[in-house]
Amino acid sequence: MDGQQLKKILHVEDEPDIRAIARMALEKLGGFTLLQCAGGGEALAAAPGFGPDLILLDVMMPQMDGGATLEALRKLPSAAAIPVIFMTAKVRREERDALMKLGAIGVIAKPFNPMTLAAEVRRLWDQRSA
Amino acid sequence: MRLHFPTQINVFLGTGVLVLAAMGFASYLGVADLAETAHLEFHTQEVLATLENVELINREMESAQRWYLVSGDARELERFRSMRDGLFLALFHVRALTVDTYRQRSRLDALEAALKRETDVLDAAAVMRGTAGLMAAVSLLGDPANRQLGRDIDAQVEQIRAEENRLLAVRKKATLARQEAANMLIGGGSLAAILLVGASMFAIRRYRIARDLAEAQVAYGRERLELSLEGSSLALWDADVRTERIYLDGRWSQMLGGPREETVTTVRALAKQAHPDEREQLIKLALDTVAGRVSEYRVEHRVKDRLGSWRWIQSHGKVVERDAKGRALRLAGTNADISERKNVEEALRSSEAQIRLVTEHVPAMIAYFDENELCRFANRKYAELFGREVPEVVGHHLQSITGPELYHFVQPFIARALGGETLRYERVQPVAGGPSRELEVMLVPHLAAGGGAVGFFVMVSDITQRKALERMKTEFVSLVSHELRTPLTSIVGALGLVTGGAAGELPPEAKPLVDIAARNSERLVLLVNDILDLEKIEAGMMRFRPRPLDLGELVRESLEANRAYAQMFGVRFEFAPPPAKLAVTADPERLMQVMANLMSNAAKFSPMGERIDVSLAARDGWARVCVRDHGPGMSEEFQKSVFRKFAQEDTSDTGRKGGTGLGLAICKAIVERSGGRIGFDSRPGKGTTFWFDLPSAEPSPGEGTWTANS
Repeated sequence: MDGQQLKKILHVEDEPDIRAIARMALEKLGGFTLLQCAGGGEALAAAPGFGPDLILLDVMMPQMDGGATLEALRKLPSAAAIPVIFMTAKVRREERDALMKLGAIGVIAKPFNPMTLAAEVRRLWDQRSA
Repeated sequence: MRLHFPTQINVFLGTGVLVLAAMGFASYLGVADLAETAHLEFHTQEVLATLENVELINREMESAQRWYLVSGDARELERFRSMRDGLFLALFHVRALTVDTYRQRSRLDALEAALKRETDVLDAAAVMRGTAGLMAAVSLLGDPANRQLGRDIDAQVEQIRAEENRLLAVRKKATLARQEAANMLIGGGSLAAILLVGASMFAIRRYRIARDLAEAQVAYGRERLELSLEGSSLALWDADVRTERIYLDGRWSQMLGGPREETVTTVRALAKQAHPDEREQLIKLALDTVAGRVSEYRVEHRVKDRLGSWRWIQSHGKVVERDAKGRALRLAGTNADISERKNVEEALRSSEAQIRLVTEHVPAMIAYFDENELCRFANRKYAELFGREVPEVVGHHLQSITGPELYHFVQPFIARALGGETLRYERVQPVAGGPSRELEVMLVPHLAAGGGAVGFFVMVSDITQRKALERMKTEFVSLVSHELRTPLTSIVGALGLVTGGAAGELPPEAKPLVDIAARNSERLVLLVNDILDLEKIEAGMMRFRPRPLDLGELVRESLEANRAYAQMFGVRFEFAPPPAKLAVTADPERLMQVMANLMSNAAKFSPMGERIDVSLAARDGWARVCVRDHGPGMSEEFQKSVFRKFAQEDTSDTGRKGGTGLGLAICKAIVERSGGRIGFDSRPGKGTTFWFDLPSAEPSPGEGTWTANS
C-alpha cells in the first residue's frame, strides 16, 4: 500500500495458449502493460530493459523453472526488488507454502479464471506489504 | 524281606519241631534226674529203716540175755545168741547200703566195735550166770565201763541216723526241685507246642486267604486281559529260542483274515510272511534280541494276509527268560493290527504333503505359532524371509527367529493376536546387501472352542512391488493431473473469456454450446482437483495441521464461503449458532473442504427455493455437524455405495448436478484421518442428512443426548 500503481507486468509462461489467454485477461481486461516471455532465461534478459512493477511467473517450465528464475532475478540489481506472483498447477498447500517462502507475494492456481485474473493480481499487489 | 506264606509256615513248623524235640530231650533228662534223686531218697530211707532194725535187734538181744540171766532158761540164751548173729547181719546190711558214704563207714566201724564189745560182755555175763551165778553176772553187767558202752552205742546210732536224716532232707529237696523243673519243662514245652501249632494254623489260614485272593485276581486279570485283547485286537505270541518255535494265539489268524485258531510255526516261516522291505530289519532285530543286545523292541512292519494284501502290524517283543550268560531263551509279546491307523497316517501325510505343496508354492509366507510363540508350522518362503531353512524355524521361539529388535517391534501385535484380534500391519525388512523389502503381515488368532486364542497364523505378503506401484501410481496421477491442468488452463481460460464477453458478443446459436463447453471444462478442473486430493490422502501425502478451533466459527465461515454457490441453485443455508463453543482439534482447511462438499451436495440436491439446515450438537465426547437437505433422498441401493469413489446416483439429471463422484469419498477420508466418523440418514422423498463427528476437545455437556443447537 505504498501508493505505487501497478502498471507493467512481466509474464513468464512456456505455454503459448496460456500466454494468449493471460494477455487478453491482463492487457485487454486489466489494462496493464504486459511483456510476455516463454522462459526464465528470456525473462532475465528482458526484465532489466522492461522494468516491470510485477512479475507473474509460471512454476513448471522446461530448462529453468519458476523457482530458479526467481532466484536468478533476485541477483539482478535492477530486478531484485520486483514483487513476484507465481502461477502454478501445483495446488498442494505444501507446494504453495514452499513457493511463498521463495519470496513471492502470492500464488495463483491454474487453471485461473481469466475474467477475474486482473482483479486477483491487483488484490495480491495491494496486499503485498500488508 | 517279606517271606512267602509257604516259607513262613515252614519256618513256624520247623521251629515247632525243634522246640518240641528240645523240650522232649530236656524233659527226658529232667525225669531221669528226678528218678535218680528219688532213688537216692528211697535208699536213705532204707538205710534209716535198717539202722532202726539194728537198734531193735540190739534191744531184743539185750532183753533175751536179761531173761536168761533171771530165768536161766536155755531157750533165752539161744534167743540171745541168735539175736546177736542177726544184729551183725543187720549191721552188715547197713554197711552195705552206706558203702559209698565215707563218714558213715567210720561211724559204722565204731558202732560195730562197740556192739562187739557189748555182745562180748553180754556173752561173758551169760557164761558167768552158768558158772558163777546170777549175782556175779549182774555185777559184771553193772560195771560202770559196761554201762558206758551201752550209752556209746546209742550215741553212735544217733550220729549215723542224724547223718542219714540230713541226707534224706537234702535228697528230698533235690527231688522236689527236679520235680518242679520237670513240671515246668513239660508245661512250657506243651505251651510252646500249642502256640506254634496255633501260629502255623494262623499262617496257613492267612496263606490260604491270600492265595485265594491272588487266584481270584489272576483270574480277573486274565479275564480283563482277554477282554482288552479282544478290544484292541492284540495277538499274543510266545517264542522258544532253542526250538525256534513260535506260538501265536487265535487272534493272529483272525488278523490275517482266517478263522480264529492258534498258530504254531517257526520263526523263519513267520519271517517269510513279512514284507520284503522290512524282512531284513525284522530278522536283525530278532537276532539282536536273542544275542541280548536288545531286551525289548517295538517295530512296525507289513505281513501278507490270506487274501494276499499287506496288513500293517505293530510287533512288540520282550525277553522273558534268559540263560546264565544272559542269552534269551524265551521271547513273548503282542502283535497289533495297525493297518487302519497306518492308512489314516498315510492319508494325513499325503494331505500334509498337499498342504505343504500348496504352502510352498503360494507366494505368501505362512507360519503358525502357538500361544507360547513357538513356531509349529512354517512354509519355505517364511523360513527364507529370515534366511533360514524350515527346520531351523519350526519348533523355535519367535524371538529366536526374528531377533530381538524385530521381536520388540512385533510383540505388541502378537499380544493383540493372542488376545483374539485379527490384525494387519506393514513393516520394512532390511535385506543384507540389497534393497529392503516391504511386507504386509496379517495375524489371525487361532481360537479354541472356549474362545481364547491358542495360537496365531501369520501370513506375510511381500508388498515391495505393490508399494512401488502405488508410489508410481501416485506420481503418475500427480503428473497426469498437472499435465491435464496445462491444457485445461487454456481451455477454461479461453472459454471464460468468451463466455465473459471479452471476445465480444457470441451469435445466439453459439452461446449455449460454448456454455456447455465452459461448464464441462470447469467440471474437469474439479475432477482433477478431487482425484489429486484423494490420491494424496490415500497415499498419506496430504498433510494435516490440526489446531484447536471452534466448530461453530468454522461452520459460519463455510456458510459464508458457499453462500454464492447456494444462490446458483436457488437455495439458502439456515444455521442456528450454538449457545457455547464446540471445541475440536482439527485442520480447519480440511474441515472447510468437508463442509464445502457436504453443503454443495445439499445445494445440488435440494429443490429450488428450499432451505438447508446446518446444525451443531455435542454428545458423549463428540461434536457433530449436520447438513440436512429437503431433497429427494437417496435410494437404498445408492446408500450402500455413497462413500465409494465415483459413486453417483444414477439419475437422469446427474449431469446438471455437475459432481465428480469423489466428494464424499474425500470427506470420509478427511474426517477419518481427523479421528472422526461420518454418516448419513436418508429416506427417499424426505431428504438426506449428512453428519460427521469429531472428538470434542472439552468434555461435552448433556452426556447421553445430542445437544441440538438448531
